[in-house]
Amino acid sequence: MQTLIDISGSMIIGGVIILLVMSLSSMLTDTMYEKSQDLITQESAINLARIIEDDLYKVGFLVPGNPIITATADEIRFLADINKNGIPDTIRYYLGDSSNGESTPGSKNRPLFRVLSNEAPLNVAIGLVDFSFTYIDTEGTVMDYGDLAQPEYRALIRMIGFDIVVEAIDKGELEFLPIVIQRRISPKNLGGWWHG
Amino acid sequence: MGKSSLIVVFGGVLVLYLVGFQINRTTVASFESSVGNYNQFNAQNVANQAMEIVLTELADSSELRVPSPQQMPGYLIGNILSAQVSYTITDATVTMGGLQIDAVKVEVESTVGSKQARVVVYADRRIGYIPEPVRAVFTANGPLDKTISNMFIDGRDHDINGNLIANNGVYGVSTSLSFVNVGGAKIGGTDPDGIDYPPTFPEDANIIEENFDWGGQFPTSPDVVLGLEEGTLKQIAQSGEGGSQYVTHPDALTYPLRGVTYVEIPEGSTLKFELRGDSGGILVIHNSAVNASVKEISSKDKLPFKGLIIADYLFHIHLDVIGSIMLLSPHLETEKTCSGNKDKKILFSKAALIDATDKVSDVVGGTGWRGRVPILGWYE
Repeated sequence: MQTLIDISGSMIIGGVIILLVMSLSSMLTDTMYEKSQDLITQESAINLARIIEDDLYKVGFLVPGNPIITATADEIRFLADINKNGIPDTIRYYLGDSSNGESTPGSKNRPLFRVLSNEAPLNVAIGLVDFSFTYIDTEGTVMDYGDLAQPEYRALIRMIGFDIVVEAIDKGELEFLPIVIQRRISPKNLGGWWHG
Repeated sequence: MGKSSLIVVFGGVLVLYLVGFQINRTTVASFESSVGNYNQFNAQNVANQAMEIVLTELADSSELRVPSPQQMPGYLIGNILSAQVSYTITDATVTMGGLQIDAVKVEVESTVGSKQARVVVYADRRIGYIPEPVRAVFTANGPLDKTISNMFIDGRDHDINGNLIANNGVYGVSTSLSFVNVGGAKIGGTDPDGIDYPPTFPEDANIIEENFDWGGQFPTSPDVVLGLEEGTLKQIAQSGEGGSQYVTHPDALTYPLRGVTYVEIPEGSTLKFELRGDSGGILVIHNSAVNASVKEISSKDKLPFKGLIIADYLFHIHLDVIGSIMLLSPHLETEKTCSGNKDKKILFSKAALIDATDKVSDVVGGTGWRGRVPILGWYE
């Protein structure tokens, strides 16, 4: 009788321990996955921001006159001699259609294309779900997109902002907080007192 | 059963350890990513800050060159996160707008942690500047109604050859009195918001500055216009530096004009002035009573004067100018009419002013580099 009780007790305790370990293992695996996805998303967002920043800092580099050709919420096109070869390059960023991006549950990814002069468009974004450019004038005021269709208003741009929202591509059943980055770049070649 | 339980427990612990290790590794990688990004920002900020320091040095000494990397003292950059900064200053040539421009290349490299940033600035080797009192292509302290006549006056910016540069200019006319365009001049310019207005008659009010209050500070001498100590321009002109000349009558000049040309017309004299050749620089027509009077100025070879004209009194301006004109006398023409210069153009040009003031920039005071080092491009 005593042996039977020992065996039953051992089985119950062993079963509970096995369940606990399995449950803990599952929880930790989810956490590990979540952490990995967070890291990937964070790095995607930072890399995307760095790519855009690197280009925006060069707006107007060695280009006389107003270098900004197009300025809308989802597109910017500008001149900069980034190769330093005396010939201004055209750099364009534009937001693509969500149908071109990888889908994620609950939202749609958007590609953000970078085009250097006559090269083919290259999608530089992973997991991008929201994106916009803003433009700030000499007075520090956010400019109206309608006005920016006219060159004289584009000539007043002194700062370029962009907001990006990146989500994990493979979310599964887990909840992830999106990574939001807001940047305001003041390209030093804009509005210089000498463009001659 | 006891052994099985032990195996399960130890196995579970091993799994826990491995998962925990992986989580820790991911957390560390995430932290390192944040720190790396932070360091990258700092490296870039330090490089830009150091660049401003180097540009200030260059503004004070335009001949300064540092051909091999020189470490910047820590106290200058504030020892930010133990940043290391080195810089070089060398001569270079850049192509911009199809023109080959002699430039000074300043390179700054900074290191913060394991991150590096590099900033390169090309500055025009001509260290000229735009004199602060030049508020318009035609700036005066007196009535300009008659002097303007029927000319083509454009305060929009132009390059040295008269090609338009958008949204970078100044007013068409600036006077401390009221202004009425009685001669039918076509006047254009750039308003303070940077919006261009092509020359028209009647002109747009946004590019006319009337009744400007100088607060009693309107320059009464050419030296004050350029921010120089009294007598500096005359001294440069008398030194002959860069083709500069000092005369008391225009007939004594040799052409083309270069550098600083100082014509000190005696008080009470009124004369005609005919320029020759491809003249430019700073042309001063002035005397201490601020009444040096030129009743007609023209160009024998029909070539534009490129630079800055500072005169007490001018009338019958039968001359193209690429640059700017500043009239110092409060007593400008109010009676006579000039209708023969409809084909003459006065075009504002920062490039022409920089060229002209390059000769005097070494003696200009001030602090910082803005307004003293013309930046062609800033690469970061």
